[in-house]
Parts: sequence; C-alpha cells; structure tokens
Amino acid sequence: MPELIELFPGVRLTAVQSSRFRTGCFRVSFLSPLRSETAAMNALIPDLLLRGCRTCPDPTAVSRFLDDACGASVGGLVRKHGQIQTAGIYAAFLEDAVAQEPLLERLCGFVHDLLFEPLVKDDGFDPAGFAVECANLRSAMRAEKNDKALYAIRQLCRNMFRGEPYAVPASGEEEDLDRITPKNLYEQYQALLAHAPAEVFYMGSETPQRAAELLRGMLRPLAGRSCEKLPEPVFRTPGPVRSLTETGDLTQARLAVGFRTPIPQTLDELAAAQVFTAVYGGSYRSRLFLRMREEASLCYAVSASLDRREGAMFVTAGIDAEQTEPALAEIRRQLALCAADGIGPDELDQAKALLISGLRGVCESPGRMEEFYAGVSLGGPAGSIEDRAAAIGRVTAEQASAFGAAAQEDFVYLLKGAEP
Amino acid sequence: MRCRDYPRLREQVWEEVLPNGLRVLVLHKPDFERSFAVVAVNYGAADLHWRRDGTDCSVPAGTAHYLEHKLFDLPGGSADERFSALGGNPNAFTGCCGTACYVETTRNPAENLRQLLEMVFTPWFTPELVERERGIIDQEIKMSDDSPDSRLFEFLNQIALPGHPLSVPILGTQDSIRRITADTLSRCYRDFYRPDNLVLCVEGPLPPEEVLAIAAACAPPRLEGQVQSCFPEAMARPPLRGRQTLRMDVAMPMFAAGFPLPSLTGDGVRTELAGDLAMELLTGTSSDCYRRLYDAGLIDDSFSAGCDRFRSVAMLTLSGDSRDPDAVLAAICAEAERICRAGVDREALSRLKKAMFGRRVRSLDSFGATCIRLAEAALEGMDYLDFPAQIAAVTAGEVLDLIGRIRPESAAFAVIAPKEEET
Repeated sequence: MPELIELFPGVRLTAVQSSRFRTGCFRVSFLSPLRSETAAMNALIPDLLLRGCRTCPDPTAVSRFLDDACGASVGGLVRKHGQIQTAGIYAAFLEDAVAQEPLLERLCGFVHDLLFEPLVKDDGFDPAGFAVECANLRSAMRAEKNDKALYAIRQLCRNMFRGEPYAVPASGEEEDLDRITPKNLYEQYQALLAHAPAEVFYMGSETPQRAAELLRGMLRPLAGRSCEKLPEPVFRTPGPVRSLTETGDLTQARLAVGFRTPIPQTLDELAAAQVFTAVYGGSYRSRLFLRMREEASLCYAVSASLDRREGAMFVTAGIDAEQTEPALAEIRRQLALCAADGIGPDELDQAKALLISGLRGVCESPGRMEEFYAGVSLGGPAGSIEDRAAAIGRVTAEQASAFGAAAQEDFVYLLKGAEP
Repeated sequence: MRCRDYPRLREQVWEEVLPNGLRVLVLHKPDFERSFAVVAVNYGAADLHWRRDGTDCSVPAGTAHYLEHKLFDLPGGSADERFSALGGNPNAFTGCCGTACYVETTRNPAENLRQLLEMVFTPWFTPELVERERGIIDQEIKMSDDSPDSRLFEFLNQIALPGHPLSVPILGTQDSIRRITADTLSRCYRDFYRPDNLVLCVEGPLPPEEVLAIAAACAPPRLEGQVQSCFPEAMARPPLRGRQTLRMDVAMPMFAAGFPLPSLTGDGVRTELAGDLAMELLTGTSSDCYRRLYDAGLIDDSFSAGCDRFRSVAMLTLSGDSRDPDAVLAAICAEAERICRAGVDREALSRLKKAMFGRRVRSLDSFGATCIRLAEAALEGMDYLDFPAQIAAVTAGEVLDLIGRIRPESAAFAVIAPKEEET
C-alpha cells in the first residue's frame, strides 16, 4: 500500500515499499497549468538540468557518474494530465543490497545537484547547452509526423480543442521555442521552483519514513514555499460535429474521432467510464476490434482511449481511405449500440476481468507503479489499486452504457494519401 | 526438475526437457500475482527454405507472420474469446528468426497456461479464415510501409545482407501474402511447431512441477520426420557499398549503418555482449565521440548503437536522426581508427561493464521481457542469466577487434531522406 507524506507544503510524496524488485526508483515532477506560453519551456527545462551541475560540470561527466552508479538512469519526464502539465526528473537504479553500495543516497545527492545547482551563466542557463537542447527538442517536435498514428491523434487534439488548454501538446509547439532564451527559461525554472506544486514518487525497499527523510534532504530548497492553485477541469458541451481531412505521403489513411465525455467525479463514475471504453474499443475483445478488424477486415489496429481528467474519448484506426465512411459508420453504430443498454453480460465480465487483471499487474512492475501514481495530487477520484479494482467489479451494464450515452461526438480527423 | 540458482541476480530457474523434446523453463515467483507464459518457436520470417526428409520446401515471404496470426483460431472459435473469459491477455510476435506466443494474467494462471498450449498445439487453418486474415495483414503491411522506423531497418538488412532471407520483410509484401494458403500454413506448422523446436517459459506463482505437469498433459508426442533448416549461416553476397537512399515523408534524414561480422561459430550471446560494449565504448553517451557529435547538433537522443544478431549472422549497428548522416558515419569511423591506434581505455571499459551489469539486472524486473529473453536464448541452447560472467569475461582485445570492424569501406549505409531533400 502506498503511503502519502507531505515533505513540505505543496510537495507530496507517494512512497511504496517493496522488496520484490532489484530496481528502485524515484521521481520529482513540477505541476503547472498547460499553457502554450510555458509548455515548451517546461518541457525544455529537464533537458537543461540533465546537462550538468556543480559536481558533474558537463554531460559526459553526468553519463560517467551514472555508468559508475551501476548503470543508473536519470532522465526527464514530461506529461500532460488533462489541462495540467508535469515536468521533472526520474531516477532508476539498482537496489543497494544488489549493487552492494549505497546508490539511493548517491542518486539523491546527485539529483539534488542537478535540480538546484544547474549550469548557469549570466543569470541564464548555459547558452551553448541551451542551443543544443533547444535544437533537439525542435527536431523531436518535427519528428512527430514520422509516426502517422501519433500525428493523427495530435492533429485531432489541436483542432478539436482549439482555443482550449488541452490543444497544447505535452511538450508545447515548435513556434513556442522561438520565444525562449537562456535567460527567460532560467526565470521560468525559478518560477517553478518558487510556486509550482511538486509531486514526488518513491518505490523501493526503504521504509516510507526513510525514503521521506532522504527525499526531504534532496528537496530541502523547496521548503517554505507558497504554491499556486491548479485549475479545475471544465466540461464543455460540443456543437455540431466538425471535421478536417489532410493529405500526406502515406499509403494507409489514419482516422481519429474525438468525443466529449463527462469528467468522472467519483471512483464509481471512473470505473464505469473505464469499463465502457474497454467494451467499446479498449481491448482485443472490444466491439470495435471484433467488428472492424476480425469481422470486416477493415483495419489491423483500432482502439478507443480515455483521458479522464479532460473528459475526452478518442478512437483511432488505420484504414484504406476509401473505407472511411464504412469505418466511421461502424464507430458510430457501435457507440450507439453500447450506449443503448447493449452491453451483454459476457462482454461486461470480460472487460472487467481485463481491467482488474491490468490493475493487479500494476504493483508488480516499478514502471507501471510510477505511471499509476502520476497525477495523484491533481484531485479527482483517487484510491488504492484495491479500491479501483473493487469499483470496477461493481460496475453494471447500465452504468457503463450511461457513460457511453453521455459521450458526444465532436471532431473527425482524417489523414490520407494524396490523390494520384 | 533441475534448478539453477543465480544468487547475485536473485533468480532461480527450473528446467526440464519432456520426452517429446519440449524444453520447459520456470522462473518461480511465489510472491507475485502476475503470471507470464511464453511459447517460443525456432521459426521466423527468414525461414523461407528447408528440407523435410530430403525434400526441398519453400514458402512465400511473410508466411511465419501469417501463421502466427492464424494460431489464434481454434475449431470452436477464437482463442481470444477463451483467454478473455479467463482474464488472460494474449499476444504474439514474429521476428526474423523466431515466433513467440504469450499470455499475461493475474487470474487463473494454470488455466491460461493450458489455453496457451492448447492454442499452440491445435492447428486450425481453414481456407475461409485464412482468406479473412489477408485483409488484416494487408493493413498491417501498409501501416509498416508508412513507418520510417520499420522501413529503415528493413532497408538496412536489404543493403547489408543482399540475397539473404534476412533481407525479406517480416510481414512479407502485398504480393507475397496473396500466395499464402491454408495448405502453406499447415505445412509450416507441421514442420516447425514441433515440441522439440519450441521452448515454454513461465514466470509467476505457478509451482514448477505444476507447470511441467500441464506442459506434459497438453503437448503432443514427439513427431516423426527430419526437418533441416536451410538458413544460410553467412551472408549470401557482400553488402552494397556506399550510401543507399530511400525517400519518405520524414522531418529529418534517418540513418542506419551496419558493419557485418564474420559468421559466428561460438557463443552468439557473448559476441552480442562484446559488440554492445565495443559500441558503447566508441559512441555511448559517456564517450567523447558522442559528446562531440551531440553538441555539434549532428546526433540527438534518437541515436543508438549496438550489436544485432540473427543466429550465426551478426553486425554492429549505428542508427538515429541527423541532418548530416555522412558526417556522423565519417566521424565515428575516424574515432574507431583512433581507438585502434591508441588502444582501449581499460578504465572506461571497466566502468561500462559495471553499467551494463546494472542495467541488465534492472531489466530482469520487466516481467514478460525476461521470460521471452530466457526462452529465446534457450532455443539456441544458451543461458540468458549467465550474463554477469559473460560480461566479466569480455576482454579489451575482443572489444578492440570489434571496433576495428567499424571502417567506412565495410559499412552498409541506409538513409531515409525527406522527399524534398535533393542531396
């Protein structure tokens, strides 16, 4: 069971003690509203921090430190949870008993130096490092179009949520990079350190109290702050369905459909939303998978996913462009059928079994645990894995259908090859 | 069952070979709810030709992958339906030299294991079901064709290993899959899905003896007939020289370079480890060469290097995105030449061995991945968990010999360039 400990005001630790793994890990994330003005900045900050500090004054020294720490990994982590962006540093390392040296303490000291003693010049991040990391982030943003499935879902979000925070990708947009300088980036980092709530996660063999002691020492400069309040998500009712078709150099069209859904407020509402999504398109036994792939051979991959914090459900599929209308009709038909009390007892049980099995698997993987507890301090329905599993077990077909009935189609995005 | 103990890794592996030839491995994890079971088959996309009882057999490209899809059909319906009722999450994949089918679950591990074995050992290839799958695989091929990452490595194999079956796409082509029938799949199934050509590996709470009993009850008897693979042990022809370019809708040029190694006769796992260490020493994130290229904006976080091995065929590889792939290749070849003159930095090698040990031990916490690696190594008669000793045994001489193979004249060099770029 995780233990929640407030390290300092606005700095909350979720600590999971487990001796079953050879890996220990911790993460520190700063939380801020997702905004185009700051998203790219916040995404760039971890890259600059990882370039060095007082004790390891360049990136090669950083890499050699990690090699010597039995191949420990330290990396940047940038995510979006609804309208909140999180940016921070993640560390994974061998447990001390396996490494036969005190790696946790060493890593805490090292991450302290990265966070609070970065490479700074003239009140800004080191300009040479800034130029390199800014160029790399720009390349990574441009490479988005290499992955057509990812590109389609990002384009759907940009267009469906235009004018809303959720339209902004987790790492911001390329044009935002043009406004960033070493100096204003450093100022933004100082602002995060001064006011952004922070979420800390630890998983390993140490007791939560010992982990808290070490992590409190690591984050001592965050003591005594007053943190800003994060915005609450707002459900927006869509108007008529909008659509956009773009062409590119591709052989398979990518269809992405966005729906606005209620934002679950309780564990039971969240469970109903998850069960509905699983029945509709979230598994290899889902309606969409069986009807569109197994029966109609319309696609290889089709899936539905949920962003519970935003109140949005997305369906994506790779199809032949000339099959767009039949595919879209099937996506709509299955939604309508599932929503109209059309979920059978077998598919309900199977979806629940898969979701519960997935939840139980969370505590048996360090990576999945880190992901599961990301965003716990953002509010909304929370609970232990057992609580979540129990809530899923209680969902009735009617409750799941009710979630589907409330989903409203908002945007249809199609990316297809240019006409010959 | 025989138990092998790895105290430093905190692992124990139980092993037994059944009378039908099926090798069974168990990583017993009594304090875990999660269970992962994999059946690995020594049959992959590159096994296009073989001999059965002296008769030559051939199949179209993409057959192993097609067969993997159709394993999920059973006489009473789809195996998926039964797994789903048991709370199991099944999947499968096909590589150049192997196929794996697996199920992961936190409920009914014994029943899910039985279901996995029933699926693998119950061939059911009807013309109607095989025909229906063609459209799905057709879409999978199109999806892969639109993926520059998939295309890059297929392209590299075509350049590095011309004429070798490894150069054929794993999924096949839209043309080749049209020639695959229920009979094609039945012949491949009969010749390759034999218990003595498979390894079952289970990780989780099921006791080893129970796994063995289930395997013994579900697997068929040893099959008659001699099957001999015609997988070429070496390159059919030398690699194509010079940079070969393919144009796609990419943001920046992507490159992959391969430096083929001589046909392997000894321990392939050892060669892979030595190759990975050599590439880490040459271009890993803690090397001076990496830093120069990174800070010059010639490589980014997408860069990687290592050793790829397909049975007896291996090559050292570099890959990533770059605005100037030729400059990257030239700089790395020049650095290799410098190291060959100056010798290996033994302190750096020792540090990299420590890092490799730590990362591999941590990777053991990735439940299914460990199970699959163990099974794949066992198919080749190797012990994956022997890596600490293997890493320690790699010598500076071996590493230097491998770095010496990084020469511009021996590189197979694949580049995917943006469509609008004219260079």
